[in-house]
Amino acid sequence: MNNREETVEFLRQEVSTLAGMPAESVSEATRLIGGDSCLNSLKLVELLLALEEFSEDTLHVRFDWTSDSAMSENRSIFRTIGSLADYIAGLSIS
Amino acid sequence: MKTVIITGASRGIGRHCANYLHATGYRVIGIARHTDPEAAFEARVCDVSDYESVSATFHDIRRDRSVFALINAAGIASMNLLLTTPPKTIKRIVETNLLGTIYTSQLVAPALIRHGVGRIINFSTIAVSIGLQGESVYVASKAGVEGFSRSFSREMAPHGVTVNVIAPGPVQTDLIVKVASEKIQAVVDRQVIRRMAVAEDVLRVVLMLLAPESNMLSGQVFHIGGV
Repeated sequence: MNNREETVEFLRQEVSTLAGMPAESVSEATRLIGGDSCLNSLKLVELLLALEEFSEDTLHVRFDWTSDSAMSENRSIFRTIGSLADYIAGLSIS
Repeated sequence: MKTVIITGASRGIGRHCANYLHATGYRVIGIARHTDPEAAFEARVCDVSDYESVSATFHDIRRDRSVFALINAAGIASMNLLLTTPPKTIKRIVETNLLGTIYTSQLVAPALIRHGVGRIINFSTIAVSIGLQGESVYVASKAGVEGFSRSFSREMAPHGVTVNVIAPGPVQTDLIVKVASEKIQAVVDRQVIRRMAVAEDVLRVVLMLLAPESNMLSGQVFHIGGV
């Protein structure tokens, strides 16, 4: 698995646990923010804390949620599992 | 051992709290703008008004699950009429008092959330409530701290972290030795309890807020001396 695939799989498992949903029903298109998100703000923060540790420990990249590059996207990187994984994969390439 | 991070730890209220908490068994990380060789606790150099400085200083504690509290005691004042206050001074006061509090809160919050229970204690002044003349920029920065704390307390409450503000009247520390005694007395005279506070009075409120039993106190401003 490459970094993006590993991140997607990690996020799917975490979201499944945090949202109490079967892992099979969680996909790259699963929304993380907005009205149809499966996570409330409390759970989203828990997800980002876990992703921060996963990024450092497994992928050896630093995931800074507040960096300008994270926030300057025209569309939030936090909108779906796929968009968040894209961002993390970009960090690993740079 | 629980870790407490204290900004403004080189003097005044911050120093008093740092010394007491260190002596009573907390691991204290004291933050100040300059090196502090006399500190009995772990002292780090950081300018809280500089985001990059704060980020670098706190990077290693971000995943430290022993971090229990952040006490933002760093602050500066300039007693001047607004009409005679240089813009650089205005910027420095707002950056240190308001942005410094926001920066440290943002960067330490992940550690507090990971700890599972936490405390953020920010500092304001009764000058906000009485609209003290000649302190408009300082008052504006501290009013910002109060508003920030009330809002941020709601964001942190689900994570078990309380956010409160201590707003003393004049406190007998080395920071006010240059202030004319009649000016200080004029403020004291507007308090409910008309005596100048000492650092011990502030420490008692800090200890109350750190106590496990205070987990239902959040989003509040505690006026020492009363207004």
